[in-house]
Amino acid sequence: MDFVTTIIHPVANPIGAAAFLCNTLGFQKKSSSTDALVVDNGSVAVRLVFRPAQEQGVLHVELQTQNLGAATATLLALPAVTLLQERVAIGDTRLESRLQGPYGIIITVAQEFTEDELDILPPLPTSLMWDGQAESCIRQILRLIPIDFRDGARLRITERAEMLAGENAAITVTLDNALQALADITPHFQHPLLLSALQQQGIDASDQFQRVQP
Amino acid sequence: MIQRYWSRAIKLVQWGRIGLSLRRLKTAKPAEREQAQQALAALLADSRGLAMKIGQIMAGSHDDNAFQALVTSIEPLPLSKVKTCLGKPLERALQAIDEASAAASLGQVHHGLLHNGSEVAIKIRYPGIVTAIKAELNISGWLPAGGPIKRWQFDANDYKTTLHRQLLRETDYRIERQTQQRFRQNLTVSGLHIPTIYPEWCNEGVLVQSWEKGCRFSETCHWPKQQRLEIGRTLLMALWQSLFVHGEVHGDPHPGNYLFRLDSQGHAETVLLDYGCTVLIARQRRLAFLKLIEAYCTGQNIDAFGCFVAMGFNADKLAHLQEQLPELCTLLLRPLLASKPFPVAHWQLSAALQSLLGEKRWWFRAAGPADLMLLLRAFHGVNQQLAQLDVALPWWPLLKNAVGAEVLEQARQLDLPTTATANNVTARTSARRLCVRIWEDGLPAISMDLPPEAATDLASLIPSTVLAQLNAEDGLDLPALSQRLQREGISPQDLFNGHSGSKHYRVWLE
Ligand SMILES: Nc1ncnc2c1ncn2[C@@H]1O[C@H](COP(=O)(O)OP(=O)(O)O)[C@@H](O)[C@H]1O
Repeated sequence: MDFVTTIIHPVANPIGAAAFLCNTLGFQKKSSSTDALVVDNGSVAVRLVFRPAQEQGVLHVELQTQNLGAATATLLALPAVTLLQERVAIGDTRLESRLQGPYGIIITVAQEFTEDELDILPPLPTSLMWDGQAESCIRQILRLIPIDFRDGARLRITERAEMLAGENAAITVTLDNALQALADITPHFQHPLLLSALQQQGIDASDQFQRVQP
Repeated sequence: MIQRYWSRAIKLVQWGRIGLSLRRLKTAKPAEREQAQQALAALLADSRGLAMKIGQIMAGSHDDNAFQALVTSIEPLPLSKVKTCLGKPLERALQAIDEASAAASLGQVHHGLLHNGSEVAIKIRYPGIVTAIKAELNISGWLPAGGPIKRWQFDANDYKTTLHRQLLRETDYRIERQTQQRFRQNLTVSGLHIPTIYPEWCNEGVLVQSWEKGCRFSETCHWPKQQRLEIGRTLLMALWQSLFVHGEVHGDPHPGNYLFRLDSQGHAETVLLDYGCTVLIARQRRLAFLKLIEAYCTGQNIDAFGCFVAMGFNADKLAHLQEQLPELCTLLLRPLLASKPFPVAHWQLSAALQSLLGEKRWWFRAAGPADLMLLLRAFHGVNQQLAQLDVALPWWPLLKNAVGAEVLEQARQLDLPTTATANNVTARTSARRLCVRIWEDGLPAISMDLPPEAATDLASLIPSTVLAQLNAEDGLDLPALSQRLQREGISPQDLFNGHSGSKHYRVWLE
């Protein structure tokens, strides 16, 4: 398999463009020759080739940030950068601002928000039907699982609960199936925490948790 | 062994010819005769579908339209013509009976109302259909031992009995009645409904059962997810329970044999109709299959080869696939091995088999017993329905539930036969297939592609009289040929090329 390694940007001022990419967007000069300048940031390279101004291309770059407001403000403080669009919502979890930079460079500044930051309880990736209480209980309880593990946990709990429902020839997952799946797939040291969180929801899951061998 | 293929090939060619000769009959046909032809076509079309799954598409048998046209153009007879078949007791019990609402393959179905208020479906066999079919078979040159039957030393009697058995099974509604009663008694699958039989009015030519309301499968694809899931579950569990517990599977899973409706609580109910064609699978064979599944699903070691042999596979042929067998099992059992509900629509089984086995997949088909292939058809039907319903179901948990702990335990306890897996095909194979073509009077008569390894076993592929002729006329020495291939490898080459009477044979490796 051959790989794409480089993006080509036809630009009227390759030297200026290279300087902008290096000074503000974290690229480093990699090589230069009479017909091209190559800059690179470790995961993507840009080959800047000379073209007259009327043939200059557009280079879209995307910047991932943890703080959309601050990153946008920093870029806008630069002389040749102007705002195109601010805080555009993309789907449920992403916000973007778009800035026009010099040398035909357009910068999209993007921030991805976690479900916790957004305060949402994402739906479960279900195949079968779910009893309403079972579903809302699992969606709530998933909050307690560290965010980095949560997507995986959500998938495995859902799949496990649905397999358990199948053992009773059911096509609807019950609260019992859901709690058993939770007990089955979470590490044992988390059980006390989960049990007491469930208790706060008015749910006693001690039976299901006891069925799991430590 | 390969001879079986050969005979199937001939059957296919024959059936294609019957289709043609039926079409050629342009003389004015009395209604009865036309029905007989249609019924016969339906029958053959059905068997042919099966044979096609097992064998290869043969030259001259691309004649689907002839069958299809005959099968679908059946018009039911007016009630007045068939009323006499009902019998006095049934006539007395009936408050009303409608004109036929549907044509069946050998008869037609009427909706009736009993004096006690019950609605019934009355399937009436066309009067005179049995004699008419027999006559038609003779007209079509089916039964006389001439033509290909003689040429290839086909066991015409076996042929006749097979056909007669099939005819008997399909035309004698008493057999269908008993089968339906067995299914009703034995299957306990949630959401499955099997119509009640009224035995007091049934006979060879009349089948009376409860009239069932419902819509066709295509409509259910628009039902809400819950009901689609319920239907999918019922279809899957019915298949497993009938296979593993009951040992008899509905062999004709086409959409016309189901009706669907909602019960008083809004749950989907699946009505299964038509018990005219079922497949019986002996206890040891089905338990071996279940044993294999259980071992794979629970991650235990299992002698997959032994399981297949116990299921009725031919050990010598299967030996060609011994290396691939474990992976083959994981491909075949994929929905059962999934740790989550499995979306059948994404299952690319044929492509996966093709890439694992290539031309060798022939050996798998060849090794499998015919009735297992029929069973595959049932599985294939359910798969298609699940894909159309667009639901993912937890296969293995549902299977365990459908089968029950006791039968699973029996499967675990089953002793597999110790199999000698000596594989005598050691020759290097670089050819991709063995091609056999036969022309008669310059026209293609038979065209078959076989696995290249079959070239070392031509003796069992070609009937001995033909061989003798070829031997005499062309100096063909098959044992020597076979030895040479074993020694030098099975590489692309012409094997032989000869005439015998009006026939011209060519066999080569490519
Ligand atoms: N119990 C029944 N209730 C309602 N309709 C029926 C019933 N049995 C058969 N039918 C109708 O008659 C058609 C043909 O019946 P079927 O048993 O499939 O005949 P065959 O197997 O001979 O083709 C079915 O597709 C269905 O429309």
